[in-house]
Amino acid sequence: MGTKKKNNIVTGIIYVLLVILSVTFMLPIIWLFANSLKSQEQIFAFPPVFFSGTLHWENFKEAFTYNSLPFGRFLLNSTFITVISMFASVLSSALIAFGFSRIRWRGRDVVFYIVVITMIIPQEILITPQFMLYNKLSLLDTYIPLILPWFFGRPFYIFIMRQAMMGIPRELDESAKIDGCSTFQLFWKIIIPQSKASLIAAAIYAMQDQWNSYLEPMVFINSLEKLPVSVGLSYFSSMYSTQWQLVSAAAIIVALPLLILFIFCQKYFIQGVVVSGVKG
Amino acid sequence: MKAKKMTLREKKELRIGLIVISPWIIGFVCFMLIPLVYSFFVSFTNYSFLSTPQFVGLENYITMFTGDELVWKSLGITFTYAVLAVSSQLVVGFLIALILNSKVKGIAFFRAIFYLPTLVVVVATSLLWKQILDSDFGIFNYLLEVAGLKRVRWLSSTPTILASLVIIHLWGCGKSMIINLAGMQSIPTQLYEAATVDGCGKARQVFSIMLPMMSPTIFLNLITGIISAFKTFTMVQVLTDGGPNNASLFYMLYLYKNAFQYYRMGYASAMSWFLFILVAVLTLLVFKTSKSWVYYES
Repeated sequence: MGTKKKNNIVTGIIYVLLVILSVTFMLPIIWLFANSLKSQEQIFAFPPVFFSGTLHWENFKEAFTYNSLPFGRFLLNSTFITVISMFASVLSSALIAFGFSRIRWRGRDVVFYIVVITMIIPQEILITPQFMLYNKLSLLDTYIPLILPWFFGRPFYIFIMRQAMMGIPRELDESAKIDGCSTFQLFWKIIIPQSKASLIAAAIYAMQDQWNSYLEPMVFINSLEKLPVSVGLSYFSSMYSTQWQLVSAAAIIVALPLLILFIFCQKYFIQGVVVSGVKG
Repeated sequence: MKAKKMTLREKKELRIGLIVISPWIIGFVCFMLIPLVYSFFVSFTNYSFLSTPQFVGLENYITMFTGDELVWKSLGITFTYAVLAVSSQLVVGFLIALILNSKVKGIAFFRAIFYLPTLVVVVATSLLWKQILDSDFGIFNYLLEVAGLKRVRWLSSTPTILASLVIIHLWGCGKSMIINLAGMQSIPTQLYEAATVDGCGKARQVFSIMLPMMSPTIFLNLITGIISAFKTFTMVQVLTDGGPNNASLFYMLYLYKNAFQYYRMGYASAMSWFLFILVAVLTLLVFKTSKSWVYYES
């Protein structure tokens, strides 16, 4: 009985800690949501109020016309860029991961080391030369600099897919070869279905990465109506008198797709992180 | 005869392998190697982007190291932030993972909550914290006032801005927390059982079993943490844009301003190369020391 009582106390302490910590972590998000439903005066109220009086749901509508910024257009641009980048990067990375895991060739592991090293190189230092080169090729202010690199595999996605493909039993390859499968058929019909989970994890990463991408579109895109929403959103607060209730509403609209995705695909989000951690 | 046959097969396999990974080779050459080499050449020129590049030798590098105090200021800010952010992330990420590792009902729900902040788009996160930290109507100062403390102008000086950024960073440490959690769960339970039989207490188990077994995970968090701290850009650009008075001028932000606001492409290229070498050296140093403290099962 003594240990059972002690266990109950420990469980109680754990719950108290969990609740305090999760409320702390959730508070900023709740605050953002509360602000998105306030009137202009309520925003500046001190002491601050959370939810009081009428809730101004119309803020979510007004965010689309705030300061005549084409917010709806920003969202469409981001959707376009993100969807193409996701399919392009997942397919190309899967093929490359296949080459690094299911085909034995001389020098494979050395080349794979280079892939791992490129994960460490900060992409940010490439932005200046890339800008100059894209300028020479007259590709600035088009989506090509934003999308094209995603057709050639992303090191991190290659990495997590390779991990998954290494775990597929060899016998599958051999029986497929006996059945007369070509290398490409082996990849498409056997390996892809077998490593589906890692493909989904990579697809989720791709969506997160491209939806979040900020520096590249800011540097490579000039026209306001071509901007993705990550950069477009930053324009919301650089006004002389920021209307925070509309900024908050817009921020929630931008954050929502990934949050919804998380609710449905939580398993794959976590899995991608775990694979990168366990075999780093 | 037989040996020759093998090489033929090997050649064929090498060809197939290279064809399959060729997208990566093309991407690596076009989007990484060529830009790197190009920026190396540009770093020895004076290139305002409108005129043609003029060769100036080592001038950019000499200015960087001797004539431009903002380089050192931004480096100092970035370095201080890296130390604060990475160390606190290691500790907090580990402690929260420790709590989330307990087997109580509904734990999956709590894990999801801690992961949630990492999903909010970075620009949205910045705008959210801009409101929380606002010195007039922000909730942070309200809480301070309730606690009987003085209001703080959070985004006004280097120490308070760095403190704010570390807090924001900790709020978004869900990924490293999940990695920690996975590391904890991969430790065989027999180790704890054996320790309990030997009369080893819970706290002792954390230090003598969990921490050493998790050293590869901590190592990974350390490396990725340092690299991402040195790349800090978006959050600061939206929050303060380096101000006031360069109080939050991070290295990456200064590099960006040189390239795209002052159009000093040669100088920005030199700064890029310096950052590249700095990150490489730091990573190598951590790798070197890792031999003495990271435990790998053979």
